[in-house]
Amino acid sequence: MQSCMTADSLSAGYNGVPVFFDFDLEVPAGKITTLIGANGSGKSTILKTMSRLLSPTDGAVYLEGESIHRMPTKAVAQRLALLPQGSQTPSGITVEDLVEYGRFPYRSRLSGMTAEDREIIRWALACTTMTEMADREMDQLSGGQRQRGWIAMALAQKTGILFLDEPTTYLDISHQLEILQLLRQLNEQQGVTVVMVLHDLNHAIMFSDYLVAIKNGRKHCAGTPKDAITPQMLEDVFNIEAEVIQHPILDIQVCLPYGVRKAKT
Amino acid sequence: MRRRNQQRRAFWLLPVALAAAVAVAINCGYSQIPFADILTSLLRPGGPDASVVLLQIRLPRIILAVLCGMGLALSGCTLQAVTENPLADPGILGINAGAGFAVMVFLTAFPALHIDTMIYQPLFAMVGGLAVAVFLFRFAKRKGKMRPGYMLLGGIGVSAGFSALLLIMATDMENSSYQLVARWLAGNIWGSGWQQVEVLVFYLLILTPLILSRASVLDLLLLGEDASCALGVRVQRERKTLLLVAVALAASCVSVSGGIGFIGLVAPHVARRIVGVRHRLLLPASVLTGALLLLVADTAGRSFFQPIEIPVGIVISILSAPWFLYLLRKI
Repeated sequence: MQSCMTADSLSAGYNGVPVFFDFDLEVPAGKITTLIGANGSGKSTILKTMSRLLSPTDGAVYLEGESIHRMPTKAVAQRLALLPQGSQTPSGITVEDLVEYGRFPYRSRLSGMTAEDREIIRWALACTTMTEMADREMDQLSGGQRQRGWIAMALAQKTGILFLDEPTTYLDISHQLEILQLLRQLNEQQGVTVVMVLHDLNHAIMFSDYLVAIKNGRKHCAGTPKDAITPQMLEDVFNIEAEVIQHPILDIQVCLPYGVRKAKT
Repeated sequence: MRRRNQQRRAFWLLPVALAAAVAVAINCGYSQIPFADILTSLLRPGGPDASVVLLQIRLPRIILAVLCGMGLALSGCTLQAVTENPLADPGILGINAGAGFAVMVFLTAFPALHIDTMIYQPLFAMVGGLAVAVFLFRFAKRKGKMRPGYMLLGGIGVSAGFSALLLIMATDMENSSYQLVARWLAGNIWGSGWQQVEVLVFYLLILTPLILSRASVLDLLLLGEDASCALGVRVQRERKTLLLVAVALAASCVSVSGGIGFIGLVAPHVARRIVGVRHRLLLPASVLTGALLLLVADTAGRSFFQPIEIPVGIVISILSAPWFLYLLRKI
């Protein structure tokens, strides 16, 4: 398995309070990797540090051999896109405006948009089936459409790697699946490497090639969904009692929780 | 795309309206000047028939109103994006008050100097304005993150504090200085001449391009710190630069006109309705709207209640207060 990005004994936190420690990860190229773990386990902070939004207190992140925290931030933005959790959309901007922002890393201070920029914006809108919505204001869209707009912006960055922090939060179940299927499609058709944080375990199993379970700021285990998801792991990481069974339709294993693990006496 | 073309067309209303306002302002005033005299004065300012009232009193005042409106509106528009707060304005944030206080200290400490050192007065104002801005940044920082809401609260406090200090200083002054302070607090461009115009033009020419060239950065900053950083904006650095320039702009205006509030708040909001939210068009539109508003307010202030003049700052406040309340309700 070839990796396109490496975290090497990475640690980081906020205001001197460490959130995660000694984290190693080889991000498999061209695959979908999902971080799972309980609230406060440090998954979002790991994602932020790996996308240079947060400086590490120790260790480093390498993007094709270069330390990401030492690269010019625009150069990083040409190779790695990130959708932060619950992004705020300024009122009044249209979908097209937002997608245009995705071209920022390629533009100098005064240059206008080139024909290539426009071509890429059209392509990004088409990939996310947002072409019809281009002139609509983001405020007026449904949660699912808005998230597709954000993904279109990230696509316009033309990066090989896409990070997403809980891309399905606040969406109803059909929009959740729609967004995840879109990501799967981008991954398969455009070869985009996806790294994301998800809360829904069965979505993580369905849409990921590689799972990384985080517990209390440390990597607990990692592997394909089939290897990683076991009743023992679910008990250790999420503190739940769950059964892992075969999905009746799809060829995957799903987990069915049935209770919170009782405190050991 | 169609929408954007509409906005682009609507933009051209602004320079036309501003030109009209200038034409009206030239004709308004205590002494009526015939149109023919205006033309000869403008075309041959050194000629024997040139009108002194027009060239030495009315014209510099009109130009100063336009320039101050431009600077304050640009400052407000920038502050609104940098602090991610649609209610930000150099007046509300206390930057005008800090700048005004510094200028007052300068005037009282070096009374003999200030006639020759008009050019340094804005520098003092900038120091005062920047001190407030630095304080606000510290004050608004909670858990390593800037909280725009705290910035606004801190600004309101600072503003009230400095206004009180100015009044305390003023009670100790002889009568003429007291009037100067009172005029300052109200915001007035009465009695200004070409010297103030030259000073302000100098600072605006330096500062304005620094902001206009960052239109796309301002767009992105509104996405929030994480998203704009992910897109390749050096958030901390750009925020500091933009804040610095916005403060310097407001301070240069305040140092010649006194604390005119609300222009920086209202002009960008009006401009947004006309040209939308993208800064490439919004910044120039705010500049023109600010110039238009301040010129109209000043012209109204000096024409409607003749022979009494109402300071432009008060006219603006009366016009803008309802708007501010409306914005508060909406947000």
